[in-house]
Amino acid sequence: MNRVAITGMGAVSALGIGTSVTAAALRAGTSGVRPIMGAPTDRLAVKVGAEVPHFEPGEYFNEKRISQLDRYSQLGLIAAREAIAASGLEFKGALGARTAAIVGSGVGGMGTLDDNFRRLYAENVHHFHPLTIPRMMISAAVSHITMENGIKGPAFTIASACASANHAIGVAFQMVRSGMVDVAVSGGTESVFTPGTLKAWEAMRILAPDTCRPFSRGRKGLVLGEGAGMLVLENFDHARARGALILGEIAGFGMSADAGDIVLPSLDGAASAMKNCLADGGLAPGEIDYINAHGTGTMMNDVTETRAIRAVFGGHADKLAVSSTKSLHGHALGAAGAIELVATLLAMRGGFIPPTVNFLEADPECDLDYVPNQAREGRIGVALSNSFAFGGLNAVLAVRSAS
Amino acid sequence: MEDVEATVLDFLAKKAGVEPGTLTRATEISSLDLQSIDILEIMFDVEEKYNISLLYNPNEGSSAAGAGFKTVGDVLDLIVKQIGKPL
Repeated sequence: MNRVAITGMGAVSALGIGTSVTAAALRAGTSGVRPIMGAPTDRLAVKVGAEVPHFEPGEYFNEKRISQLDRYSQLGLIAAREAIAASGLEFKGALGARTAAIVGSGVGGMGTLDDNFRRLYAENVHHFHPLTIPRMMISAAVSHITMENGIKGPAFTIASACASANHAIGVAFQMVRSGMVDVAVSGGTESVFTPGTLKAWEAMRILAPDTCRPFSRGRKGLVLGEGAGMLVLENFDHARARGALILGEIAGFGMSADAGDIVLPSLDGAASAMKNCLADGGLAPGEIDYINAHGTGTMMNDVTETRAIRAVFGGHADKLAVSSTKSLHGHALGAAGAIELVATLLAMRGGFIPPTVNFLEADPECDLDYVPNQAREGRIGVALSNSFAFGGLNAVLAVRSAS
Repeated sequence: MEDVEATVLDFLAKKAGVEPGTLTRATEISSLDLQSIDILEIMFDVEEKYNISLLYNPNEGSSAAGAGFKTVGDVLDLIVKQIGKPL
């Protein structure tokens, strides 16, 4: 079994484009929740979201490529470019065939789908753009990442709703660990700010009308986000042999299914995934310093996740820092786990613990240290990052500091 | 408003798999085979029938079962109040 190093990372979210602006916002506690810009809000009850700010596709792609790329693919490619550039790897030649690309997404190219269906049904337009299918397909982003970089090993998309990115990174980790490949580009990407998708989310009645306040009294639900997180995972010896900067190490991966409800979370399912992750990495509960929580800001998730953490960590739960960076970058759904893993690594490398912002006061049913409102100086040696999806699909990653 | 109440009781009874006559305002939601998602579907049925938008966010109620309703009467009150005062 090989150790698995992280040698590159990239992020695009409501906090901005790139890991340096992301790190600055995490440390400062600057939330990216704003009035929705990407879709008309006159027929929406909820008018806030966490969209990527100041994004001009033309700054990243030429006309010809833009016609092939749904926004969800564009965001994924930008994060992948940053991660791959940071790693210093090039995939021409033999390494291309020894490299995987595994990317999570919840729904794929919803903007393309929504635009074309509106033209057909509402505007009575009969002609579809010929690239509608290759733009909207949920595997489009990973295909473009392979094409842009010459990655020729295993490549596919994983969809498990809000756990997609964690499942993708976990499977990529297993491929590198087993020796199937030497390198994997992996993460998640999502973009759902389309009128139809927003209406569908609104119908679930779990969107907060004000902002995202995970674990806080007065929380009113989740705030939708968008973006992408990407990592370069590399065989540890391969990375060391070429003198690469090692940003951290994937230390374990655990999964579980609730086999319960299509929307309600489960204490047992969440706890199993965390336990499986600790066991996979040979980690004792006491070794964990920080958990980047799923922490959506819904009444049910936050109570259930708190109880699951208590069930797994016992007395150590009171020594853990637990925060939800969704309070800053929103819930990026199939990209969430990847953005949150990048956030965890940025905090680890920056010597701080990211806060749960918008925290008003303690909820008696949520009784952990959520790092309310302000980042804290502190060293994170080993961290977990939780993702618990609708339909009870759970995936938890453990990362270890490089130092 | 009695018609609305009867209609909502019908929707509730159908979802719960019981006869409408067995439901009263005092019937506890937890005694019925109703999950929070069933309540959301009933809200949708009402919105479709009366062509209105109901304001309801279960996250703003109690955390019990994520629904925020204790009795059938609570559900009726929320809906009837909003239909009586169209949005």
